[in-house]
Amino acid sequence: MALTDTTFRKLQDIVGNAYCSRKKEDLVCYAYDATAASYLPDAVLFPRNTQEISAIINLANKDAFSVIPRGSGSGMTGGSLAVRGGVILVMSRFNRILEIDKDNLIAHAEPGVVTARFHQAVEKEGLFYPPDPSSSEFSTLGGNLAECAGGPRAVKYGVTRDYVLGLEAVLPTGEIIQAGVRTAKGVVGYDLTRLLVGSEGTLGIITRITVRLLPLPEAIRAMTAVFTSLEKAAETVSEIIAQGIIPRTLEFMDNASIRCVESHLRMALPVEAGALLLIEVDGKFETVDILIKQLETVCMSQGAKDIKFAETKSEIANLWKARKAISPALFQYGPDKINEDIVVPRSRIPDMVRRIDALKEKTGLTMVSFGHAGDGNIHFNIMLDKKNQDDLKKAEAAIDSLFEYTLELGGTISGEHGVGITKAAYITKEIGPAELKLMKKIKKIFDPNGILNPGKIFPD
Amino acid sequence: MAEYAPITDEIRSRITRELGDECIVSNLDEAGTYAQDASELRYTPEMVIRVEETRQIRRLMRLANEYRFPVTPRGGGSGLAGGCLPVRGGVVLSLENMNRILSVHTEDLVAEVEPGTLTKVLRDAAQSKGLFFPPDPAGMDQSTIGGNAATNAGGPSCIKYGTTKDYVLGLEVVLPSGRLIKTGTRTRKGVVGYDLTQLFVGSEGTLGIITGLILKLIPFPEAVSGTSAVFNDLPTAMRAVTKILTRGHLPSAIEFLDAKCLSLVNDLLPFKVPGEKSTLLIIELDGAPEQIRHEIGVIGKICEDVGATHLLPAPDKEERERIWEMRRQVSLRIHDNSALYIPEDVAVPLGKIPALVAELPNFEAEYGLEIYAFGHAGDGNIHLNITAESRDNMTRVEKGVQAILARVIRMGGTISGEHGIGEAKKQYLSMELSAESIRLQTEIKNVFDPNMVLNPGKIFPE
Repeated sequence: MALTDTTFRKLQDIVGNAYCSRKKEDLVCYAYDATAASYLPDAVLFPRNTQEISAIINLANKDAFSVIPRGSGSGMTGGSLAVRGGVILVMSRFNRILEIDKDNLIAHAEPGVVTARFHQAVEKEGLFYPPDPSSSEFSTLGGNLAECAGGPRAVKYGVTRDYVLGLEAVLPTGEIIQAGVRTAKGVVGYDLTRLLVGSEGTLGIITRITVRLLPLPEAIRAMTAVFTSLEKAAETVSEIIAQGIIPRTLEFMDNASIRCVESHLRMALPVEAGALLLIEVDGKFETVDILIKQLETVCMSQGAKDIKFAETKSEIANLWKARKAISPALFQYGPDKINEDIVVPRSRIPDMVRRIDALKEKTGLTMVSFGHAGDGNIHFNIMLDKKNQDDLKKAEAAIDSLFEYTLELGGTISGEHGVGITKAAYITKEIGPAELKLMKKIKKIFDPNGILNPGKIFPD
Repeated sequence: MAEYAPITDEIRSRITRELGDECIVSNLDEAGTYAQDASELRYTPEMVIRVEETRQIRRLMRLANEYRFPVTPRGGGSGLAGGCLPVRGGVVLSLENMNRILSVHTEDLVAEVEPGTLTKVLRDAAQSKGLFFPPDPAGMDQSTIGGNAATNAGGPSCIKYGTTKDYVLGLEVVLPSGRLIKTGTRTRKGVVGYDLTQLFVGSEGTLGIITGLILKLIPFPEAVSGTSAVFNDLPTAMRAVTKILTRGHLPSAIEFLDAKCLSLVNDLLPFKVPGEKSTLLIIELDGAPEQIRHEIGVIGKICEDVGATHLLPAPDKEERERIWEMRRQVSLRIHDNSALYIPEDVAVPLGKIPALVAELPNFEAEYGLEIYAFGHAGDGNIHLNITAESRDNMTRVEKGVQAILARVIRMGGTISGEHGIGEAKKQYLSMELSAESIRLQTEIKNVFDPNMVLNPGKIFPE
């Protein structure tokens, strides 16, 4: 339903004229995220505080328009898009780090704080907030919570939900709730905190966040190792874990990713290699050197070549350069990208690799895999021109069969990107009818009128 | 309040017919043991059933809905809040015989277990494969994994390793309707749909009956070392805790015992308690042997710099066992020595621990209580063992408890760190949770259990 002039004026009254727009040029800026999809909202709002959001929600229920909360739009599944029109709630003015409580190892922040800025602020105090989605330079804490963002460090440190102690949220009914605690533990009532985390902005609008922090590790060491095949690299990953070493990050790039980055950046990567592993360890000074030696031994015993080490911040950043360049460099392979985020139990990575190879052979499409080998999270991409109907059909069939195989191996079809709109059609492959029914009923309790972020997660 | 059917002969024979008679605990003495947990509460079940299979649970729940009788699931019965007691009568469903460890997978670092598996048995099984299941509730020789998940149990290792919820990846659950569902994944990551797994964890057996768990394991730490330190008072001890943590050390346990607790175990201490306010810190560290040997020295030095009067290094297992045994004895002796014993389990921000403990004498004087405080100094979780010399003046005691909890909430704390609400604390729920939050939660309960047959009367005051 289109937004009437009367409703728009009421919205102006709530947030002020300067923080409310329905000019085309403003709407376009908030019509996209990191998927290729684009939906024009009816209006964009920049609320200043929780009370304003509550008032907007109350109006939404009264005047029947939908509200879509948005961090910085770096999501990979369309979670922040106005698929049914309505009002985009941009959380950018909620950008204060309220307190870094060194004695209690916790921090309070507003949801619009950019993740990397938060990292810097806590690290300055000798503390550590581990979740590090690849988009952390622009993603926001609120968006990270809503999607339960992961990142390379998840192999050792877990994902966003493991750090959220409590939050404040405006419910789709306009009520403001405090969930969770400000302490390290708390078991009073149902865990609404973890229900809201990962709910992709469909159950409430997070307006304040309490996270736990860790002491900042003293030292980091990094290395890269080159393998003749991706399978060999995957076996090495298993061997590392079997030896009881949990690295801080354990990333892999397949041959296609290596070639892709090399032709983009010309940094003398081994373009003939089957795979490359990038491994980091952290901890006390005394332990990191021992660990990196152990890792070298494991890699050598698995036939690794060309092992490089990094100690200083800039050396480590250099090793990461190739890994971080993959996503943007991919488009040289084709104008369109189908991007998946599957996870399989770590021991099944070699099986998955073989299956991907077979699919590549069968379809002749360009497929690129990279990601978080340490936790079995594979970012799998098919690059194509979607105008080529034949290729598009082949790609869709390939994705279908890949998802089925993922689930057969005991995995999941979304490790850290969420479901949003791009995976909604597939959710029933993973979630059974009884489970889905429960989730929908929960949504209904929170949002009886269906005004908050409609059209997401659940297939229509 | 929902009305329930008594367990009539007809219901009894339907249950027997559909579940088989082996699972019925008919010996009265034996059935009587299911009337209690580790709290002081007592509610006698009308019928006790000890199932072997998920199928039986599904049938039981269908009957419960048909006849409207309550079913209360139970693990090891070591809970401290009455969560497994049949407060509205009906059937107690014991899961203790569903106790198989189905797999411990070394490469994936995952274990699949049935809910009746004892916590300690799982920890040992993991350790025999070089793996570690960190949650270590004090009752772990008696508690079950299903019970731990239902109450989101914690323990001393929480400071470094978190609580049970951090180790539950996926669940198999029989819903109150009898339907079987699966939640979560076998992988570390997974964000498909709402997090039902974490909704069940900590829901105290009110949303579903956990029949299978997929748990996350980590490599077993190579070595453990420890030290204990005596301080003149609690504020000094807490200064040491803060300093240890902010200097980048993350011990696997930092426990404290206040002077009152220490006075109960004088005979077990290798030193004379130096002063009236003396406080003991028990610190453990795990990791690579070279590293912790060095680090435990650094931590000892921090304690001394801050003002520790005695340092008792415990590099060997036997020495650490002795200290933990002393800690266990404190609990037992408090319990044995008092006519009335109320275990409160508050958590406050770390920095507030000394202030709270300093105020305890005022509460003791005002409400006629004797309060023994010990707990997890590293995560702010204080076990306030509230005792009184007689049970005569319960109203006054309850007022005292309420006043203490109100103070805890004003300090930014929570009324339950790891024990749960169950029956024992439900009257205090609204002190911490807003009306909106409670409404939302009762509506969630209603979605899962429209006939209120599963563990009724818990968490939410009626």
